Amino acid sequence: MASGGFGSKNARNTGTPNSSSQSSNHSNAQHELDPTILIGCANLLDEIDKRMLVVLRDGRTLIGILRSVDQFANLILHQAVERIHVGNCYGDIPRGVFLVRGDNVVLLGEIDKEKEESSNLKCVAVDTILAAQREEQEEKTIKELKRSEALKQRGMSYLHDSGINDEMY
Amino acid sequence: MEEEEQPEWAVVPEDEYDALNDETFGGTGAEYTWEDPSSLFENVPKGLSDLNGASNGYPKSGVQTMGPTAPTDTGPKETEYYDYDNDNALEESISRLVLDDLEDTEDEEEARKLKLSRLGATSNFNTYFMPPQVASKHLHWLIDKELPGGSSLLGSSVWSMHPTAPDDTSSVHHTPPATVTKPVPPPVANIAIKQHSVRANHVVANNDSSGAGSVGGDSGISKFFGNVPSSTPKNLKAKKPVFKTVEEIEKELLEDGNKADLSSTIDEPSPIINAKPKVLMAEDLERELIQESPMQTPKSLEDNPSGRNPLQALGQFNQVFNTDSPTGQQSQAQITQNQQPTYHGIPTSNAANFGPSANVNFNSMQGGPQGVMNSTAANAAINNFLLMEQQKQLLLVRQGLLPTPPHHGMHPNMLPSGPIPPQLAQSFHHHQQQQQQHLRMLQHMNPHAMRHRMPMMMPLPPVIPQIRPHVHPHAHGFGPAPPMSSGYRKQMMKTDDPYRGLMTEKDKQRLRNIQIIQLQNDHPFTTDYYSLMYKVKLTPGGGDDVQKHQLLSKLYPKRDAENVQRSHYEPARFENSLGKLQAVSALAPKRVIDTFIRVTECRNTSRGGMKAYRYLLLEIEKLYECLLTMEEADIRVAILCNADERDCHRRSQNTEKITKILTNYEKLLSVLSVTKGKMLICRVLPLTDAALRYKVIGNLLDIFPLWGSDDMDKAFPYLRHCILHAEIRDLLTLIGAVTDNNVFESIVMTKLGVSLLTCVYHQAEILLSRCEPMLMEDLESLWTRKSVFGILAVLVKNDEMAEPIEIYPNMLDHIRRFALHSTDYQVLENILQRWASKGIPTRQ
Repeated sequence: MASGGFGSKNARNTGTPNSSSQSSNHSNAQHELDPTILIGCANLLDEIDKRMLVVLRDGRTLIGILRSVDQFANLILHQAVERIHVGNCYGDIPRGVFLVRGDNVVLLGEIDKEKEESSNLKCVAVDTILAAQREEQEEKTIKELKRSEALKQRGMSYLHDSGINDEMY
Repeated sequence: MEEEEQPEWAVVPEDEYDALNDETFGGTGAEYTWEDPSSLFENVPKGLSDLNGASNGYPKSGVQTMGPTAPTDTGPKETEYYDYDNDNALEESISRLVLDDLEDTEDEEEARKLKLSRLGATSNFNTYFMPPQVASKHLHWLIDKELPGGSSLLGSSVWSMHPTAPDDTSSVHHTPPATVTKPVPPPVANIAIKQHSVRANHVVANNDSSGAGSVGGDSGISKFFGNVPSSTPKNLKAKKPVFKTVEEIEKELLEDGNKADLSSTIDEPSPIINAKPKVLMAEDLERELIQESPMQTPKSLEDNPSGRNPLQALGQFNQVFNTDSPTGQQSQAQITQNQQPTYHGIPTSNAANFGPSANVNFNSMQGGPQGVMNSTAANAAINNFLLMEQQKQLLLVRQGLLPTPPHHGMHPNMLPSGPIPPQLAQSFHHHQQQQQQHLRMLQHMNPHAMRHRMPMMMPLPPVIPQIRPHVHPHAHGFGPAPPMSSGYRKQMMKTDDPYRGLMTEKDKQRLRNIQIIQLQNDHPFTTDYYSLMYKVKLTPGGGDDVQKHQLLSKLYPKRDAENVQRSHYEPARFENSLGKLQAVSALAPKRVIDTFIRVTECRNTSRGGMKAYRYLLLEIEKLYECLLTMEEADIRVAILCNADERDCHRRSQNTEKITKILTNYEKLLSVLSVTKGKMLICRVLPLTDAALRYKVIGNLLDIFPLWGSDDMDKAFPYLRHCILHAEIRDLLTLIGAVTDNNVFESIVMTKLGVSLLTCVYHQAEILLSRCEPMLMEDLESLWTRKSVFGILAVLVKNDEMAEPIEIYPNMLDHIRRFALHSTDYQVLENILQRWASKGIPTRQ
């Protein structure tokens, strides 16, 4: 998971062997003190009740408040919205409470509110963004068709991506 | 009164209670009888006495300060604090009245005094709600001489969260007890009673002045205190109440704190503490605003545009009411003399929290009243303005333009440094609680609703449009908040997120424990993939492929390149499992149960081949159940002293089922066509009867080519067990089956066959060596007739003979017994040595 990363808050690894050994000694000492410190493990518990962005395997992007997780990294997102990005614009489709199976998650990360507010992206209506997405998909399909035609003319076979993927990742 | 005696503590029925109204609530009250409190409580059960004095959450003692006429030896003097409770107080007051009426004393005057002292002993006047008529009669007892504010009913206990400790007479706010954890909101009843008491005080004033009791009139405390009754004891100082705003109190606290730092003595009570804050609920304020006629707005407010900086507005506001300016003093006087108690909670405090630049100057709270404010409109306007500013601040805070002010009453820089006196701390606590309460109320107030409640003339705060995301028409978005427990409520109070904390700490800890368990590893640095790869990454150069491979080989020792046989698939097997795991992958296609393909003669096979096969598999499963039941029953019989009859019965039932299968040759053959069936038969044999057992083994050896194979080595222990418990006759049965050439070849060529054969000879040698010499010759001749020699000779000469599972050393003795040729003996010995050199275990 992108949120966890390699190493917990207590582990500070600078990449060099000496510092890593010192940090590992320090982290080992901490581990001895507190058995609940999971060094080198991703932990989603720190992200509870935070607004997270989740990318799913089918390419969808969900934004919601992470309310609960389990050992399989199944997520419960509250006040979830599905954000569709098209160019410089985005639209949010409210989805309510989402239960995401863990193996469908590609990555998740906490949303920085300040950066989100100061971003250059423009929020548009859902209908608008859906229409834009449809157009983008059509353009992509046309582009792929042209590419496959061009490659075919040059004697290369190319199976163009129809654009409809059950799994992008 | 009723005929039967009523205990003294019994509650008087309603009729009688009403009848006592004149006595209790009448003007003269001449028929009051006061009893010695000690005698009164002689017969009172402990529970009720506790109820009267101890259960209603206010201090028992304290009214010892009533005066010199109050007996000093009455009632408990210890200060005990209880939680304040309106209903109980009312009930107690009623119960006290009842008690009083039941008492008869001769000395009325003394009884009255004692009663008053008892009232003081059992309750705190601060929270004792006397009816106005009673209060008017005993006004002088209501005035606490220690409290400079005057009437204790009007004291801080009515307004404050915590009842005043009568002993702590130097402070309006007393230190809350340790047991009181949650703040008690100022009850609305307090204000009502305050009004009654004010009227009562007024009545007393009228009584004293006119001699006639009458209820009513404006609540004029100042008027009242201007007419202190002559019956007031001289030692009681009827001080006029000082009403101060929160700013004034805080300012005084600061000044006192500074003084305390300088003087380093905090024994003397702060003058600020003696002041009583004005308390006004937000609802009351709104009510006033709505009811008020067009009010005189200060010029500073009218000139201000609606969209100005809140800090500037507050600073301007404070400048208007600054003590430095003469106008400020007068205004301060107006404020302090405001008869409507007002509470300036959060706005000014929060303004103070925005930093020293906020230029907040608290009005000084020194001195007494300097005048009387003519109208309350200005104060209401001030309150209204403060509310507006507060609302603006809240809007800005919500939008993140302003930092969220900390929830405490004072700016940190304004708090006195050094040790804070308890009275100061208690006042801070009091303010803090009230501020928090107001903050909660205002946070939930819709600014638009506030606008509608504002008077029309007041400049409205700017309505900042909230950017709402486009809501999908089919959205099921934000549902109602879940019912919250007290823990959730606290969480809710801290942040704007009402759903925070849905995942409890217990759940989180459970997840951590699961992770810890998953991470538990005896050799984490060698068996943990991530640790290994991290180690590789740490090595200079990032680690080459060889190093990675070496580390991974440590991780998966069995998966070396040499050992990887992609064609070889061994499904995981579990003990006592009736089935095999079905692992599906590209390398190992799905395999349900292995079947042994055998070529048989063409005969009338059973109809429906697949169905029959499935039926066979099902039968095998059922036989396995029988087998497991029999094994379990055997264990229970062997372990338990008194074997259960059910176990024996169960065993016998299952044995019958097995016997049917074993005795049926066709059935046996079909079962042996399945690997699981072969194991089933071999496991069942030791549990069957001896006669049947060796017959079946003989049959098995007879059809050894059909079922005997290298992968049946697992069956050897069971068959060996049977052979090692065989008699010579049983062995003869077994050997008789081996004489067939086809059988012999298959036996010799398979590991299992050679092992069984050697085991038979081993057992034969043992039996022959044990038996008496008389029988030995017969047995030997019998054994010879069965052409043991021939078998042995072939066995010796056969170079392609398979290696057995075990070697038996007395094989040589057995051959020597039957006087084979020396060469055969030598060859056999060489074979045995060769087997031994290959690591085949020797069974002793």
